[in-house]
Amino acid sequence: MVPLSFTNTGEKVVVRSICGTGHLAKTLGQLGIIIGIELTIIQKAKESVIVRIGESRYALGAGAASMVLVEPL
Amino acid sequence: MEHTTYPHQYLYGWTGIVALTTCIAGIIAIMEGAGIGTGLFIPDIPGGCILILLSALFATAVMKGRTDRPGWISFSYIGALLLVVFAGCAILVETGNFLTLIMEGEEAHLLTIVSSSFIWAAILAIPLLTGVSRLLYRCSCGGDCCE
Amino acid sequence: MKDIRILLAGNPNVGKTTLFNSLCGVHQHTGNYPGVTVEIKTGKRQMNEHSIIVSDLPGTYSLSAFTPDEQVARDALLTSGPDAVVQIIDATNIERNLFLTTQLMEIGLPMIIALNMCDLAEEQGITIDADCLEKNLKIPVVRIVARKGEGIEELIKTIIRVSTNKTPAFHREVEYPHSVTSHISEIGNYLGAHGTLLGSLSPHYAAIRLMEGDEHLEKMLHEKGLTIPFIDTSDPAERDGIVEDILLARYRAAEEITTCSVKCSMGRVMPGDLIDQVLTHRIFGIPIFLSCMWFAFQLTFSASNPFLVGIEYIFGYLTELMNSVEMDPFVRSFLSDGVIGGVGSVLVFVPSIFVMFLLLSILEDTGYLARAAFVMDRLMHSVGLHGRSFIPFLIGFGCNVPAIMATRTLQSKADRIITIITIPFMSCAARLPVYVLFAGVFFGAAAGNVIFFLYVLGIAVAILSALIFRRLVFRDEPSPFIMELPPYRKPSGFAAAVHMWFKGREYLKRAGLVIFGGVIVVWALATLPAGVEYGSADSLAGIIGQALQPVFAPLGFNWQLVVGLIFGFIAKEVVVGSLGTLYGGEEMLESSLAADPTLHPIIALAYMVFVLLYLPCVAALGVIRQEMRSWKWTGIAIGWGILVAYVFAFIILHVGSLVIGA
Repeated sequence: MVPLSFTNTGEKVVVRSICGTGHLAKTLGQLGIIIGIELTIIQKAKESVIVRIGESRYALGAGAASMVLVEPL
Repeated sequence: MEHTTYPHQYLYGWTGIVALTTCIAGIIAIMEGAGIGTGLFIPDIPGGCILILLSALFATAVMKGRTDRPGWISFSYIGALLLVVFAGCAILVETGNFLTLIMEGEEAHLLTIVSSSFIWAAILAIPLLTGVSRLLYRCSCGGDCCE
Repeated sequence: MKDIRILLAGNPNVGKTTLFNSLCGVHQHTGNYPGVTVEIKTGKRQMNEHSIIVSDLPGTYSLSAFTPDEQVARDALLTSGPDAVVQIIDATNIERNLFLTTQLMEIGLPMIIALNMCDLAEEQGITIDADCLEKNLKIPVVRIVARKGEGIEELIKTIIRVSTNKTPAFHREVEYPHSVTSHISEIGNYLGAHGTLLGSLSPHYAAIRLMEGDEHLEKMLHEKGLTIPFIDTSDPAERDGIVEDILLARYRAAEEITTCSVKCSMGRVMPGDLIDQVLTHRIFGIPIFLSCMWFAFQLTFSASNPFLVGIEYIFGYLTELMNSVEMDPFVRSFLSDGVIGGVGSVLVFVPSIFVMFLLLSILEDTGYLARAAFVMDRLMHSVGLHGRSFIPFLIGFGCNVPAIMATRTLQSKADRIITIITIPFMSCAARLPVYVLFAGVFFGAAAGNVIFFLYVLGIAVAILSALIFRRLVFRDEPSPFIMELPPYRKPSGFAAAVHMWFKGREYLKRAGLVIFGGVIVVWALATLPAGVEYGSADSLAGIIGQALQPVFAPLGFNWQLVVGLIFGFIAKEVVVGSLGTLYGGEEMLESSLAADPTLHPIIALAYMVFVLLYLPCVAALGVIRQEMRSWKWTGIAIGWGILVAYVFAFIILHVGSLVIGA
C-alpha cells in the first residue's frame, strides 16, 4: 500500500484506506474517493496528482494525496 | 517508427518542421523587439518567448513520438491548438490597436493586422492540427491510437 | 393563481446556470460574479396561468455543508419550504450525481430530475434508459439539453404537474444496514416527542441528518437543551463508523441504479486525459498558463481601447455642445464636471470589464480554469495560499469587488481571510489611469517599465502579506487542495456572452453607482463654499486636503495629492478626475503636474506605490465587510493596507532620494 503521492502516471489503483476522519476524509468521501474504489492516475506532479474515477476527474494537492493509501491493480 | 502507416509518418515529420519554424518565428519576433529590425514581423518580445515555448512543446512531441505514441499526439495537438488560438488572439489584438489608431486620427497600415509572427507560424501548424485532432478522437472511440 | 416556488440543485458544472438562464431569461435578479455561482439567483417563468419562481442554488456534491456555498444550498433546501426541487444531473456522469440524489430524496420534498447534456452522452456512446431510471428512483425524469434549449417546455410542464399535485412524495429509500437504522428509529422517536422544534423537517429525516453529522442541526438541538440518544452518548470513533456506513450505502444505491439504467460503450483512452497530461505538466504547465494570461490581458486592453477613444469623442462633443449653450455657470459646472465627468469615469471602464468577464466565462466553460488552479496550487501553497485563491486573484486584476466575492469557494476560514486581505494588492483596472498619468508625466519613455514594476510590486507585497499572516497570525497550513476537474467542453460563445452581459450589468449597478456618486461628491467639495474658485485651495476639498497634509508630509505629498487619495477611497477611478479638478482642468493636468515644483519623479513613484497599496475603494470595502462578517477583520484589512502603503512609500521616497542625491 502506498499513498497516492507515490504512484506513477498511467497506473490503475484501488483505494485501500483513507487516513484520518476529519473534514478532509469527509470531503474525499463526498466526491466518491472511498475504500474499494478504482482510480486511474492521469497525471502525477511531484506530490500532487490528478485521478479519474469512472467519468469524473479530481485534482488532489500534496496534503490530500498523501492521505489516500492505494494498491496497484 | 517502423510500423507506421503512411499518413502518420508524414504528420510526424511535419511536427518536426513546425517545431523549427515556430522557434525561428519566435527568435525573429524577439530580435524585432530588441531593435534588430528585419521589418518582417511586429516587435514582440513576450510573444516571441511564447513562440519559443510552443516550439519546445513540438520538440517534446517529436522526442516522445518514437516510443510513446499518445504522448506525441497530445503534445502536438496542444501545441498546434494553442498556436492557432493565440494567432487568432493576435489578429484581434492588432485589429483593436489598428482601430484605435484610426480613431485617433493617426496613420495606420492595414497590413499590421496580419504582421504578428504568430499568424505565420500558425498557418504552417494548421495541417498538423487537423491531422492530429483526427487521431486524437480516433483514440477516444475505442480505436487503437497507433494504427 | 399561487406562485410555484422551485429550487435548482445539483453538482457543480452540470449546467445549472445554463438551465436557469434558459428558464428565466432576462427575468432574473442576481448578485453573481464570475468564477463560481456564489449567491442565490432568483428568476421567474410564466407558463399560461402559472407563475414559476426559480432559485438557482450553488452547486454541491452533497448536503454536508463545509463551504459557505454548501451551507447556502443546505439552508435553502431544508428550511425554505419550496414546492419542488429540480435536480440537474449530468448524463455523462450519472453515478456520481446520484449520490446527491440519495440525499435530496430523503428530505421529502417533491422532486424532478432534469437529465442534462444528453447530446454529449450520446456522442460518448452512453445510452440511458430514462424510464428505468424513473421507476428506480420513483422520481419523474426529463431529458434536456440546456445549452440548446431542448426539453425545457417538457420540464416546465413536469414541474407544474408535480408541484400542483397534492399527494405526498414517495421516493425510493436508501437501504441502510441495521446498525444504522436502529439508531435512526431511536433518535427519530426521541425527536418525535419533542417535534415542534424541528420546523418543517420530519423527525425521521432529522435523525438521518444527525447521523450523517449535521453540526448545525446538532447545535440547534443542544441549544434547546436536548440530549440526543446515540449522538451525545457514543464516542467519536463509533459515530465516524456510522457516517462511513451511510456513505457506502448511498454509493451502493447509486451504483445499483446506474447499472440498471445506464449502458456505456467500451472503455477507452479519454482525449481529456491526454490533454491534461500536457496542460498540467510539471514543466510546461505554468508557462502555458502564463501565456494564456498574457493574451487575455492583451485582448482586454486592445479590445477596449477603441471604445475608450469613442467615448472620449462623444464626451468631448457633448462638452462642446454645452459650451455653446447659454446657461448659469453653476449649472454648467455641475453638468460638465459633475455629471459628464461622473458618467465618463464609469463608462471608461465598462469595455474592459465586459471583455474580462467574457474571457473568464469562456475559460471557465472550457474547463481550463480548474487545471490552471491545480497548476498554480503548488506555487501558491508554498507562500501560504490555497490553489483556489488564484481565480479571485486573477479577477482582482480587473476589479477587486467580484474577486472578493469569488472567495466563497474557499473552505477554510483562514484561507478566506488571508486571500481577502491580499486581494487589494492586485492592482485593479481603476488604478491604472493614475499610473499612466504620473508615469507618463514624470518618467517619459520608461513609463511602461515603471507600470510593470508597480504590478510586480503589488504581487510581491501580496505574497509577503500572505506569508506573514499565515506564519504569524494563523500558524497553520492552507487546507488541502481537492478540486474536481470538469470535462473539457467546447465553450458556447452565446452562453459566454449571456454570462458576460448579466455579470457586467451587476458590476455596473453596484460599482457604477458608487463611482458616479463619488464624482458628484468631488464636484461638490470642489465647488463649495459658494463663490470659491473651482478646485482651489479655498474650496472644501482644498481645506480638507491642507488639514490632512501634515500626515503625509514625510512622504512628500502635497495637499492636492492628499485630496486625490481621499477621493480614491470612494473610487479609484476618481483620483485622476479629482486631481484634474484641483489643478485647474483635466486637459492641462499633465503640464500642470510637470510644472508643480513640489513634485518630482521620486515623489510621483512614492505616490503611485501608495495608491497601489493603501486600501481598496468603498465598494470593495463593503464587500470585504460582507464576506468577513466581522468588523475586526475588516479593520485589520484596512489597517494593514494603510500601514504597508505608508511604509513602502516612505522607503521608496527616502531610498530613492538617496540614490538620486536630490
